[in-house]
Amino acid sequence: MPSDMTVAVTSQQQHRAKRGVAFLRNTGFQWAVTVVLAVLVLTPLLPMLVQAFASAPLYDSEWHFTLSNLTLFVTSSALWLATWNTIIFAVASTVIALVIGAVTAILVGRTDLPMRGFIGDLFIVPLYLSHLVLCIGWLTMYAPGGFVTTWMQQLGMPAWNLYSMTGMALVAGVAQAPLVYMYCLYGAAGGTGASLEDAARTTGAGRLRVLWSITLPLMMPAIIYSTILNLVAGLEMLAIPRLLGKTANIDVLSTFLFDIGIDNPQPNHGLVANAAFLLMVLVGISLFFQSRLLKNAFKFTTVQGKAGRNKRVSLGGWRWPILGLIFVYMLVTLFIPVGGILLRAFTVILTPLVPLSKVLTTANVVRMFEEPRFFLAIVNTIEVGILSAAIGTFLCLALVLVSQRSTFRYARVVDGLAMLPRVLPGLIVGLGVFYAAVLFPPFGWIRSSIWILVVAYLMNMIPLGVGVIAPAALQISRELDRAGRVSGADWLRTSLSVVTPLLKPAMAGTFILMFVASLKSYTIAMFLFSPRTEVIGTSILLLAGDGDTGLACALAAVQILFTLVIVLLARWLFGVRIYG
Amino acid sequence: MVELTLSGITKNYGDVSVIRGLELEIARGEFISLLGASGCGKSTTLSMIAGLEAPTTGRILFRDRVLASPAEGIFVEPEDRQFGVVFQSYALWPHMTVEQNLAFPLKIRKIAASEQRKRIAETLELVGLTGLEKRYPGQLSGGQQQRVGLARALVYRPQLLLLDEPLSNLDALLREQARVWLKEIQLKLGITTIYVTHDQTEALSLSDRIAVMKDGVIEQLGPPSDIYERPATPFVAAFVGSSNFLPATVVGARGEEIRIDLPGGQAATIISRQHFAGGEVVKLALRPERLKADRSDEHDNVLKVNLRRNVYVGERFSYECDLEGQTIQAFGERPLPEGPTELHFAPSSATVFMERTG
Repeated sequence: MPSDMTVAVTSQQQHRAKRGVAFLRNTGFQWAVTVVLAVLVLTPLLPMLVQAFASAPLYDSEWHFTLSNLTLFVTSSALWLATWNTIIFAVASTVIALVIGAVTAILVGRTDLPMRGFIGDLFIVPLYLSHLVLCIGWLTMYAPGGFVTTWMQQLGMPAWNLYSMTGMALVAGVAQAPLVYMYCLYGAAGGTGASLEDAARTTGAGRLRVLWSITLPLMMPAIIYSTILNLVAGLEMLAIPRLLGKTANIDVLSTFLFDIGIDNPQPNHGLVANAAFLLMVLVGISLFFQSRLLKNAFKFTTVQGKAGRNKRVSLGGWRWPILGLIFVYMLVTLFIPVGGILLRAFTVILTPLVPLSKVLTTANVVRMFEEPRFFLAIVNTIEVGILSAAIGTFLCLALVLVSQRSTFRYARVVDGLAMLPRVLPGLIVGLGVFYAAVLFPPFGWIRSSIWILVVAYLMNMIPLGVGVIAPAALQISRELDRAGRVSGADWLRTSLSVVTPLLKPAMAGTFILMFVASLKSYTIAMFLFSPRTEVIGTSILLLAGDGDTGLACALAAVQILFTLVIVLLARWLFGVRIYG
Repeated sequence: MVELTLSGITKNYGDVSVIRGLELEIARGEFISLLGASGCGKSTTLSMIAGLEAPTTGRILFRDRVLASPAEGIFVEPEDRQFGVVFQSYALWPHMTVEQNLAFPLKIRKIAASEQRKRIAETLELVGLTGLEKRYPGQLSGGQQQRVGLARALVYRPQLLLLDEPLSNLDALLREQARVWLKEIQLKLGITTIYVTHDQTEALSLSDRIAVMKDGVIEQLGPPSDIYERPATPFVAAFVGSSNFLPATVVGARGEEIRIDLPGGQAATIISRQHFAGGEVVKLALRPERLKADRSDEHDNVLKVNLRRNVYVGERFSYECDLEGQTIQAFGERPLPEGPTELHFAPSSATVFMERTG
């Protein structure tokens, strides 16, 4: 008997000790993830909120709370003008994107348009390229003095001016149209509505009536959602206003912030923080309207037992003319600008006035590789991309595991924090990380290294990664976790051995998506880079701003090439389709 | 010897209470079924025993070890309970082969590789799946997956086997075979088993005892024959098998024999263990299969009904009858002439409930 009791006591003690270790492993991991996320997401925000009410830059030790920034804010007519311009720009570009994107979605998704699969693939190509790259392309071809502009003038066509609000909105709208297309195509245009359309036809509605009364209303959630996304994108867009609006003296909030906050020997930090805050408020309002508008989304939910046999609307004799029109659109908005970039990268000057053979040069490309600054920018871009995509993928995995698959007390907080950066425009993230790095000593060392970019990109891309991994994880039955637990594995072991392997495809997709996103990104970097930490995007924007278009185009060509290689590799090697 | 004790168990999700005071004792080696409609709390009960859910109040005891007791701040994590669970979806890990699925719990227990192989081979032989070690779950049929699910729950020799509707995803024929096979394995291993199901046939044919659950409480606990022959409540009478209910009034009682008045001026004699006083309003439950067209015993009661329709249902005829506006169903082997007819039932084949219990 005594020996039995000893055994019992020991087993109790062992059990307690084991529980202690298990607690450290599981709850410890969950807390660690939460703290990393909170630091990552909140550190850039807090200093900016304080700065808005500080009398002097926070890094001066002499500052106190004041409301004078707000009065400055109220009295600065330049800021108000910039705000007004921002709203016009955002709304106009959104409307253009909406019309082009929704119409194309209906044509590709619901009609018998010839070659629609190819058109569909082609139409989303701008999603892979940054606004900056597209804008450079437009600049070389359609700006005053650009190749096409000059050519048209020679032919006696009326001149246009790309350096205007109209030009800005047009380029931004065209760049954003694929986003609307994507949402509308997978929203309702993609065929779920086919039987509903048939039902309307049988009740006596004509083809156009069906389009207007059934197809379009079914697309409403997609339209609303993409509209809000585009409005937010319009608010934070930096490249297009800076490259196209500067000459015409059109300032928007993003350029205003950049000029007074970064590109200025004596930045007015209070005003910057206030303007940034205003931008956040605008974004917040947009998202608020989205949630209100989508509240009744069930009205648009298509109830369906079987997949509809996607019966397409016949375009009849219009099939080929419409196809021609789309090709002209793709030619004008994509092929000519991208072709312009490639040509301009290998020429001294690009104009129809001088034959191409006389201006061909490799000087731009040679300079790009010889000047350490630009070569470093290319290396940095790849390094930042790989680091942020790799860390980001694992961080998002950990976030989803904690928020979705654990009983962690603050799982919902983790979820909320992870989605918070969605409300934050890229330039706020850049600015916020900039303040945080200046302010918090632990961040000081990363200021002069590419890690500051990695940190800012990570924060910015968390919602993107969670957006891929979370739905994939939802597809994995919870009974698989439960089976792991009752088999004897603790939460962490279950998460790593059972859930994680099943998420591998989603993780590969996240990595590629994040890598492409970081290749595209330039806004955040514009607020953070230092001479040793330039990336391709910042170099292009600075070079183009200085009028060094040839070199800017060479770098843009490199970026296009990288993106192309990655997208094709992802598609062929892993079967990952980034958008779709 | 009592193996598992649930006492005073409640479970709330916010304001919704799913389990409302559950008491249950399970003996070693016993096969017990939790039977009930969806939402009755049977799966929640199983989850609490497995440790996948924590009770709001109450105590779960396995032998002399407290598994969960919120009042004492005790909760043993599922991985520390050593129970085997078979899930409704089988929950086989799709990225692991059959062998790897079975090896996972053994690896966690740091069992040597040679011993692992031996146990996996033994367990697969037990469930009749030898030779399928290298297959992935996606390459197996539903019946095979279900066997792998059971094998994985048994391979680490658990102290308790918990089954959550393990046969509900199989088609009818396979389900019947699996039932026989499952019972054989349980008898061979002698493992204490708790079986959750909404299928009365499964519960009746497999169990030593059945706990019929409704709205988070046990309505009746007893051996299958008790549940069927002597349902404790009208709900049990209707849920396990089916029953016709008739309003009745007690006229008088003599020992276990009760005289009751039925609608339409009819009367019957019922044998009941419960005591009823004269004048009491009661409810009579009659099973359709115990209502006969022919009178086989002189003590049988006669029920005059109006036969509306003979419905042919393959193995038999169903008589749809009417008694003072109440629908009465009975079964027989031949069609009866429509119109007024007589049905018969033995005094011991009917159950009388006090009206308030329904």
